[in-house]
Amino acid sequence: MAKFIFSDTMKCNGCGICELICSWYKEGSFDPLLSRIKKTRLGLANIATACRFCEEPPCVVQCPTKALTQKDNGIIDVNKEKCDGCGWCVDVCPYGAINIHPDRFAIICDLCDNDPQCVNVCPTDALILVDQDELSNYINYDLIERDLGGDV
Amino acid sequence: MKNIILLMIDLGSGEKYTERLDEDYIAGYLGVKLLKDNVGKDVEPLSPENLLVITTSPFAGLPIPCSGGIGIYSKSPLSGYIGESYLFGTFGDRMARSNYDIIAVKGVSEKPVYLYIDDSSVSIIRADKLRGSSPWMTEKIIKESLNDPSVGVLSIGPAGEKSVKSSTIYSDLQYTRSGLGAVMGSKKLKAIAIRGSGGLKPKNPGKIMDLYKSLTNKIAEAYGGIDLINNLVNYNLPGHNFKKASVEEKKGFTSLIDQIQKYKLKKESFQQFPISFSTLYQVDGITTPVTLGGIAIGVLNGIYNADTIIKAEHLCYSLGIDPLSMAVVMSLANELKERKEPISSDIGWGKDKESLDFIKSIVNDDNIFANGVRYAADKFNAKDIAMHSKGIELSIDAFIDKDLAFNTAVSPSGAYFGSKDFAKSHIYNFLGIYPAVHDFYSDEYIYQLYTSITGDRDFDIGLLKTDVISIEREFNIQQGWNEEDDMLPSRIIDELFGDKDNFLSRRQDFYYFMKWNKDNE
Repeated sequence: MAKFIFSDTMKCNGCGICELICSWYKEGSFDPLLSRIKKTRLGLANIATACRFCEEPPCVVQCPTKALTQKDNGIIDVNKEKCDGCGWCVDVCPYGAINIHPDRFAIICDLCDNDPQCVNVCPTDALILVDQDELSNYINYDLIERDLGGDV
Repeated sequence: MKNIILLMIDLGSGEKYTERLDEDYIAGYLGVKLLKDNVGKDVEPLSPENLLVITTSPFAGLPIPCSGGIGIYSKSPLSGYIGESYLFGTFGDRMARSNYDIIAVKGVSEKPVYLYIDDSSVSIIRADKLRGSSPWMTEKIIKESLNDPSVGVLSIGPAGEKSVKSSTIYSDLQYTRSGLGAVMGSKKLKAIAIRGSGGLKPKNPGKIMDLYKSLTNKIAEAYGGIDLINNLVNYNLPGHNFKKASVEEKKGFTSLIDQIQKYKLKKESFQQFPISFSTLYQVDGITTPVTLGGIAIGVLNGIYNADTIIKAEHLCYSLGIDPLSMAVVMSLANELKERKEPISSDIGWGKDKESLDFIKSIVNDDNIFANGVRYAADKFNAKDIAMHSKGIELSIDAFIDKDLAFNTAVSPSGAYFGSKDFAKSHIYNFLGIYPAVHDFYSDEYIYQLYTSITGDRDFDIGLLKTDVISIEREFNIQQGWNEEDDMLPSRIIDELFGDKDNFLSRRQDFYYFMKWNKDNE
């Protein structure tokens, strides 16, 4: 089962350095919109999401221009010539892990040649490589269901 | 460095315009200058003519740890002088990616509204449905209605809407001081939401990453394992209304700080902060940050029940009230009660429920305490027990540390954010660096960071210091400031400086060091 990047919700503090390092390493600009990893906040939990290298990836199956293919190691390859940036993959990805570059092509995590820069720089060691079965060990569902506030 | 772009919005007429300022300078400095050029002595802080100015940091949106904070400036309704505060997190990041470096708001809207800034487009949106909402509920509703959870939001609560003078502007678990929420409320401006999509391309990103690692390691070493509230047991905290604490009071707050650990939920951080400085607590279905303000409510008023303190801080957050100010206003009320003054509250030292009721009542019409500690004390002829500097209620920092007390006295805003080194912290605030980490940054780091961003090797922090340090003071002088305003309550002076002469002598040395002469030049 392919391992992908995920955040331990008890460790991730939402600082966003993962998005900045990713966009700089891949695109030469500090810009969360160009990041292959996305930081989100659900309730009181901070979660970082990247491609999970699904076994039957809907983005590949449903790509209208056949621009996406999956390599043997699970990584999704984007053919920039074929991709027109329609965003269908963004819509069908169940994890919200795909972005569209302003130059109209999909950007998807490729684990930086097995040396993921975001994992290296994460200041709280929250980013980890896990597979789908291990995932639930790192999600704190209680935090996700909480919000700030309440009545006195 | 690109030129600074100003966005000016008049909520009275709905007019919006942008202006490219000639100077490629620090936005914070230009923001205060804008205030100085437009807000004279005759302008009332809560009148349409006052400006609310928000400025970006040159370090925002970049991997520069614990920085990128926005500066918020206005003429303060509590002091009548410069009001300033710095908020960190998402708003500053998004603002750095938008087209604007300074946002200035004037006028009063006819109906409650919020502003939505999307890169360069600016919308004024009706906010009738947000009326009476807490800041965090306001933020949640705005994010849902814009269908974008990533926007940065500044918002006020019910207290700001009613222009309670110690109202705050809230963002990412932090609040402003100086009554800036009341200025925002007086303009019928409930919130500002910002989305910015620009990428940032500094000249030398590799160097910035090196500096990120070195600074983050230094800050993590000092703060990574520390619980800031727990750490307060190591300090000499004040007792009732800033009197020296008795043995019983000391036992009380040691027990409070001990108990509160049981309610800890998690540490929390925000954009650009690799180290967490906020902690969330929970009790009876309530989840809230507890800050120095909540602890101040406890120690200054003899409330040592952690449950009550968490609820008190939560109430302040929900109403959009500065808990540091609330702590001081409440202890004035308690001391007035002790003096048998006819105040309309059942409050008393250590009375839990009555203290929470006191906080809730701050938004009631005609509540004398809603005008701040200085005003309320004047009404009861009790200036001697009003614990403020220039009308801004004192933080308990000003009792814990003599240098922080002194810096509070001479701070143009009457509130002090930073280290013991006044001159250094003053400029680092303008650069948007978090006050608790000023000691880890140095002028050398600033030079390296600035030149890595801009490529301008002629950057001279010395010149910047001279300008920045004087601009807030110049604003104050224009409003009628005099040396007597750089003062602390006698309770603090007696405790920390021995007598007034010692304080005045230190102040004279300070003016000399800062090259601030008596004729205010």
